Amino acid sequence: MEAELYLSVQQFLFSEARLLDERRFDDWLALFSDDALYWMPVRHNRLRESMDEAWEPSKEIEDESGLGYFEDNKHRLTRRVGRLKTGMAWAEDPPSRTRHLISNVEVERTDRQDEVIARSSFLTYRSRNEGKHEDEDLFSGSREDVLRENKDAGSWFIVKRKIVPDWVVVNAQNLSIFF
Amino acid sequence: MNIEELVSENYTAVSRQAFVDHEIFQLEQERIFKKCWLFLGHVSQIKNPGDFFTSYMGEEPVIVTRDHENHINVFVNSCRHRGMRVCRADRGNTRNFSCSYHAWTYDLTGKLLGVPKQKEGYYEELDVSQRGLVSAAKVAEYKGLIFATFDPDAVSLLDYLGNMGWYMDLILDRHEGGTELVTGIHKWRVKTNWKLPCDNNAGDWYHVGVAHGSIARLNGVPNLFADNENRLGVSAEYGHTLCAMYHPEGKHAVSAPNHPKEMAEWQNEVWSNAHTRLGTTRSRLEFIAGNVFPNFSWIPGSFSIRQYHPRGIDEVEIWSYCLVDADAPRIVKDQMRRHYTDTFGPSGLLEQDDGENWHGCFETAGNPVIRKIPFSYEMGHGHEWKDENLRAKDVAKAASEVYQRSFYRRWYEQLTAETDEVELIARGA
Repeated sequence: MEAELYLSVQQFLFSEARLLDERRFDDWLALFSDDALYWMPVRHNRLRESMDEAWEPSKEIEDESGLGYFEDNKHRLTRRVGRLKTGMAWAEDPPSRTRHLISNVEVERTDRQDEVIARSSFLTYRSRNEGKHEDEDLFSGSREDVLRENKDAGSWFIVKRKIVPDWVVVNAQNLSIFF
Repeated sequence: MNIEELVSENYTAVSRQAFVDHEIFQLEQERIFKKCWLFLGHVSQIKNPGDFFTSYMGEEPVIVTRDHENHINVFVNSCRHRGMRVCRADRGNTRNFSCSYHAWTYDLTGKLLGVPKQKEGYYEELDVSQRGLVSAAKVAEYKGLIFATFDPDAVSLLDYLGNMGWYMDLILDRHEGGTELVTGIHKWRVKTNWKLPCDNNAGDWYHVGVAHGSIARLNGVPNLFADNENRLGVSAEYGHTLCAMYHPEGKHAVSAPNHPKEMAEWQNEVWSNAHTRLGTTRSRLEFIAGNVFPNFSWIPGSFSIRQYHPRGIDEVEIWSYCLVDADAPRIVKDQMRRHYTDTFGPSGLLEQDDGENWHGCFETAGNPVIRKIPFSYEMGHGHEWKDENLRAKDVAKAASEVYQRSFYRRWYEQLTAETDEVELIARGA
């Protein structure tokens, strides 16, 4: 793996996180390709099938026909962002103060010349209203992104983002922010 | 605690004390969650012998299984030895449940199969036949939905649902294939008392234009739903309520998404079918939202049903499911699921703002000054009417608080009745 490629992807993910924390949602949306899929499947506690079974997180999440927290194409994602501008999106009024911490970045080449897979972890803190204890949330999980070269901008498009949450029960009143 | 002081005559006002008082919460556990029929899940979650899922009846963790005789069993998830949960998975398929503490092991019916050291430790004096997991008193199914109650003297599930079953059929019985759940459950927690989301989901049409106003603006229309005299608030009976649209004759009772074209075709097929299955009146009814007392709620326009599980007095854990027509084509089920996820569940564009209100109404309710200011449920009181075509105790305009008055009437009667009176109330006497 060339250092230049790795740094380019890492820089992209960090910049993307900053767009979210600065609530520049239109700029954030522009990072997604027109054929993008933004998907966060639901996770559950399962029985171990045998004594020596490894606990694979992939078996704990729903497949594409199961339930997700997000299952958005670009149109649906655009509506989420559009809602924030209606003046009546009460769950984000006053808005969440977020800090998206992105780490554990790994980059993998794919069969396609112009696409890579980027894996990362997130720890996202949110504070709302007066910031009392019940107004604070922590969200963590992993992400697997398919990124496509954005040659014009010398950057990347997000083609697919699969977000695997570390929770089974969301310990928050809503998921009104992005991951 | 004088319960009579918590509600006004006609239930047009309810004291905030009802939402913050720990004695009341304990009484609710005893007289509501141990007495009422509670929704647990859907038969599609346990299709095969050995299948199980875990859920809650009030705050009691329970296991729901399908045994090898094909019976559905419901028992408390607490070992008869020292109380450890014998199952900590959300769902799966198993032969038995073995406790992780001392390995007391139970079968799919909750029967204790055996314990380690029965001979050396217990001198074979432990009567395992008497130590099965404690079962729900009654388990019953209504058109695919599984319910149970801890009350051995409870009326039948059909009697408990009363008129409400007639409306639930609009979803459960509208097509010969019945319904199934999409795999997976949205579970999340809101810091509020369980009754507030229930009284909202009972049919609060009044909040839709404001609390969910963002969607109208997003869609570029003045109102999410145009004002319509045909939109009704229905007090079915026994505290079960719904908000419904009574469409003009000859019009299909459906406003759900009609794209892609397969979705429109499916809706057409379902509703031409429903006319013969459900009759003229019901083929004109569109079930918008509702609640089966105490905490089983419906949002059929978004293909969704849910439970509001109490988690102490100040928190509710919402379990929300996507309910689809079992024999719909894959593309239609996909569209139903996406429409649900778009609108409800913790990330739903409508749902997000509900939690905001449920928490905000509750967070200061226990304060010494605010506690003295009752919640108001007076809208439309005295303006209800009877409709001989609908199976209902009362009918009102959709923008009415008839739903909440029905809910809190049942709540009050449930809390104050002597045990045998509770049964009478449930029977509608």
